[in-house]
Amino acid sequence: MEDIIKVEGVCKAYGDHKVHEKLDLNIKKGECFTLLGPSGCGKTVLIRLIAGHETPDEGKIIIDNTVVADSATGEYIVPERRGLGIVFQDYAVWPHMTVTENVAYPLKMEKRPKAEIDQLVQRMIEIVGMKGLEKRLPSELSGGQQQRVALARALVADPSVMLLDEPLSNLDANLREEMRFEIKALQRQFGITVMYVTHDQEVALAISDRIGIMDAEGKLRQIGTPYEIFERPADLFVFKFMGIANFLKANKNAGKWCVGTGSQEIPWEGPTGNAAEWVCGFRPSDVAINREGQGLKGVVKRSNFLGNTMDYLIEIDGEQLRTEVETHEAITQNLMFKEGDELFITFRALHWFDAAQLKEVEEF
Amino acid sequence: MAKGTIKQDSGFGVAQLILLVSILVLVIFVAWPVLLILFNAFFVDGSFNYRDFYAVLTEPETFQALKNSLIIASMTTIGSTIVGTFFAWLVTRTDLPYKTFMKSLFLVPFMLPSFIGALAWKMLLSPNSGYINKFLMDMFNLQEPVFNIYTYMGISAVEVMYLFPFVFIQVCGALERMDPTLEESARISGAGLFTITRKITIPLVMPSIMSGALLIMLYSMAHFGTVAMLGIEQGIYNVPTLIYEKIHQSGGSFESIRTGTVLATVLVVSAACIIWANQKVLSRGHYQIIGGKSFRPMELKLRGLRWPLLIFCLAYIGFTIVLPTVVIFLVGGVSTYGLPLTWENLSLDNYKYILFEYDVTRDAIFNSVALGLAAALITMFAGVIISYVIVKMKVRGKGILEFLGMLPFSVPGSVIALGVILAWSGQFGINLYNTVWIILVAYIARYMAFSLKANSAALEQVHDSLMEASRSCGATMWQSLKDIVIPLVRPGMISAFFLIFLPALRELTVSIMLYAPTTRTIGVAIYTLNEDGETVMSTALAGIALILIVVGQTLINHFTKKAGE
Repeated sequence: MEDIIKVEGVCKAYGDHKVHEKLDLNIKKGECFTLLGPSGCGKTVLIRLIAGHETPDEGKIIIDNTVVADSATGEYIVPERRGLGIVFQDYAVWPHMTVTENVAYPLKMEKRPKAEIDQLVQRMIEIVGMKGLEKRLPSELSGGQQQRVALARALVADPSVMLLDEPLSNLDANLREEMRFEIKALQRQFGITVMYVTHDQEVALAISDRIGIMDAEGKLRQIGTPYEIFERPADLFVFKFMGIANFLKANKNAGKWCVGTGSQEIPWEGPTGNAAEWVCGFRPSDVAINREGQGLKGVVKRSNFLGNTMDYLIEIDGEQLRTEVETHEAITQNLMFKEGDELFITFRALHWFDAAQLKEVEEF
Repeated sequence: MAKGTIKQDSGFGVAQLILLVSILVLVIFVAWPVLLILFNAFFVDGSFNYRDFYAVLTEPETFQALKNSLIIASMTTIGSTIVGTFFAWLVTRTDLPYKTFMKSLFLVPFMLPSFIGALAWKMLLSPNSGYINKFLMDMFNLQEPVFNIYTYMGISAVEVMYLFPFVFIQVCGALERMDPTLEESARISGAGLFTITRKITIPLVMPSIMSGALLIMLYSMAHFGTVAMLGIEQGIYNVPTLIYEKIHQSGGSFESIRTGTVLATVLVVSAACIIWANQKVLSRGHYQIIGGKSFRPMELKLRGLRWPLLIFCLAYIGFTIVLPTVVIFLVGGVSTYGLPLTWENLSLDNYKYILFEYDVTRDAIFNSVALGLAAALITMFAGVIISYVIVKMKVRGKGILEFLGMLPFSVPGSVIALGVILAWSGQFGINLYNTVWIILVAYIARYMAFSLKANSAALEQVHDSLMEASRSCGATMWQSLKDIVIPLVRPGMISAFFLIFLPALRELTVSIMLYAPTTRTIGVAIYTLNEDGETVMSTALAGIALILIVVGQTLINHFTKKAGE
């Protein structure tokens, strides 16, 4: 599919602090693209560059086949002529205007006929579920309701692209879950392109067609579908950023890859590549445990009952890992372990990473 | 690749234009006059000469004025700090009856211009003809007057009466915002009330007390009205009154201008030092524990002292506010100063005369109202633009503006007046001297600080994203300013307007140095009529001024309450 936003070789610095260096990014028409990264990595700066609230020091930004900013030619199109809808982290709902006035503002700027404005605004307010609150001022609305107003305002003028900057971070957990499905539903309903910026990997997995992972230096580590990012992480940073991870150091012993400094062979295909040292990574849910049988032999160091699940800390030849088993499964399968019990471990999934990356990631 | 190549819509850029205009306004109105003063103080015949500066400074007359300024300012500061802190503690931390009402009563002295207060006290306590002195002498058959207001003590006492609210407001705020759990935990640990006050409360509010005291010091050093009313007759001059006397009597000779600029330089430097010290005190005292939230503070039970202390407070207000105001209106009602204040001697004739017939006072009222309105409007709009650049815009060269924006806060009124004389009396092509415009120019410089303060506070409340949201909704920069920014800072602009209009209405320090026979302001008319012996006319005009001020203040309270809703 055609690219609607193209970011080409963009550099942006504030004083000595380089936020982006030679950044390239393409967003396809009609997709929901999430830019995921730790706080302070420059996601918001990128959104502001695309929206036109900042200008790139170097590079080019193209929206809908129109160059909106190009440092080489000095071209710059002001924010109001870029045809984007934006939802800000702090909502930015205008406190002196009612819900209706807020939502109608983009249409008024387009000088549409009054009857059309009224009809579109009314429809939009209904879509975001704010019917009956039209006359209220933002100070009389809850955070979630203000967020809906901001969404309605961003969508009402039918923009080609909607940019969302951490729009859910100020909401409580329940509302956040509800709103993220609504945003996805609205995106499908309107068929518009969404660029979503967040540091919350759960939201990203739930709503995205594609995800881009950005590291703290503003570099894009991997772009792919949620499934690709989760199951085939490009590197250790991506793997670690997407959830709780275990890492076991490995040593090569007579052609076999073994845990830690011991001699138990890791029951998975060995790494290919030429790193000096390797670690294997896996999530707690990728670990299968047994009382007896095949696999790595380990000892339970800590056993925690967490209600739905049992959480175990296991030591194998000096290396530690965490795993969890559903409580009722643990009871029926005889997998309730006490501290000091021995058990056997196999893997459902496992990734090999260059051990040097582990150090790099830990420095963040 | 240079950043500048990114083209704004128009070649030069709206941002740069606004920045340039803002810098120009501050340079022309504030920085240039001050620079001229420094230049004239240090350069003789075009060459740098600090020896001459020193020589002028050590002349007996100038040195005495400096000493007087320091003595009066120190006494006023100590007095106001004690009075302000005591009353602040009383209305926030005790169970004094009618506390909220008393708190608003203690803010009333702010409304009363201190030179009008001084005029009233002169009539009450002047050694020969003061009503109180005469009353006491008759009563006890004394040969000598009991009080003499024409002394350091008298001048300072009058200044304390009308300046202590500076400390009162600051300390009230600190005491109200202080987390009471700090005191409660000390009490639980077994500390007595005296220990808690000494070890916990006072150290926590000390920065606020210091800050209020420094503000009073700054104000009193550069204060003209009270010293002019009560000191000049006895030869007590402070720095501003000496500058006035020099400029006024010599008709602007080189020698007097030079003495004036040297004294003004001393004022500017001491003002800068005081402001620097104030910022140090406030930043050091930035305790987390004095939060923005309002708590219910621990209250001291006054027990048997409750009613006596309330009566003491009411007596203080009665003595410092009611009594002088009543005297003003009564003396304004008699035909000749000195007549006993009895019913048959009182009439409204003086008031009618000065309002409708007497040219001097009619002109003065018109001038003051017109100047106040013009200065308030111009300064309000200039202030909102300059604050907008300082608070919101990202343009190169903003640092210059930030520095220039600090200047109006540290330049005392008499310095501005002198600088304006140097800048606008013909040496540089434009001669505004002896016209009403030179007063307007000086007012703009003098009140820019108020406008910058009110407008930046309002603008800081307007988050950047509100403007960015409207830009992304299709509004141009001007449209966004009109639809989003201006409506949101309107309360700040309105309060800036009144913060300028009311003080301008009663201004004396600046206008007294710049007036011509037809360009008197209310303050100047009151002062000059009093000097010329037209005491009753002067007093009647003071009464009219008080009415105008009270009406204006009531309007402000009404508007600001509305804006707060």
